[in-house]
Amino acid sequence: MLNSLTNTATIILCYTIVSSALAGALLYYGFRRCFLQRTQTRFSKRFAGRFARYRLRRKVK
Amino acid sequence: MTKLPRYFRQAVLPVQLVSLWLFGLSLPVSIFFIIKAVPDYQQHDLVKILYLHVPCAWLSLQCYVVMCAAALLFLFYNHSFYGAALKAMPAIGALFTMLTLICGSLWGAKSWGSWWEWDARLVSELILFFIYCAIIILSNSFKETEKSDYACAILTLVGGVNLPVIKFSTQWWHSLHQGSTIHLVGPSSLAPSMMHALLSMLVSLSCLAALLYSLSLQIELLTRANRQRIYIRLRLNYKKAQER
Repeated sequence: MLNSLTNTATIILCYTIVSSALAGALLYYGFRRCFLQRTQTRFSKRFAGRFARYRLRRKVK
Repeated sequence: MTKLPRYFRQAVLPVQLVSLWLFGLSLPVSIFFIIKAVPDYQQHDLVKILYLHVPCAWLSLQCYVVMCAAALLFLFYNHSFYGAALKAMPAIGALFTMLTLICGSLWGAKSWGSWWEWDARLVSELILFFIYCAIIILSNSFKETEKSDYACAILTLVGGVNLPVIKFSTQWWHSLHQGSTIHLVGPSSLAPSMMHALLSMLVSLSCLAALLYSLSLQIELLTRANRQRIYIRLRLNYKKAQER
């Protein structure tokens, strides 16, 4: 009886560790991707004109 | 590489959505199969840990195979995309290897009566985890991306020697770890209900790994693009200062 209970506890512990680790990884990558995408969009909008001028100048030269 | 490659940008969202959809679909199925699977005659319900341990172990090796392919492609074509494909994987591989070791340890504590044994299979899997960690450390220790990619590609290919050692460790050495029960060719010595649980869990974890990899690759490419944009901006400011 006790052995069966400890087996069940071990199984639950194992599944909890794995599912929380994988969920954590998914959340981490998801949030990081969203943050980077947002930063890049803002950055592109802000410096779009400057990049265009820079590229144009390089082509002219 | 100032932008993400066009084919990748077009493919990334469908890949992420399909893998998320398949993962959401296969997870309840695999949970159902695991609950319905017959208990082992010796281990009883403790065998349910192996439905996580075995797919995690397979995926830890699969991740390394993908890394080896990316490293070879990078060394042949010297394209930054393959470098990013290589660097996006080690963290995911390390995660699966760590989960394999934790699950195995929990199972071993109850089944073998020991948390850890200096067994060939266990030690080679631990070495794989250290190799993943070494690649992560190496990828963050260079300022220049190209040098870092090159170093990671070399280390990945050198570490690839460990893969056949893990696979054949139970045959080459006298091992406490059991040998393979599922064979690609020939009959497998596993009950059908156990096989269904194992394969469905493998499918759902593979979908999750594909989703994590596509996100990680996108992050790596976006980071590189941002770094290059910052570099261009700094050059632009420097030129402006010179003109003044």
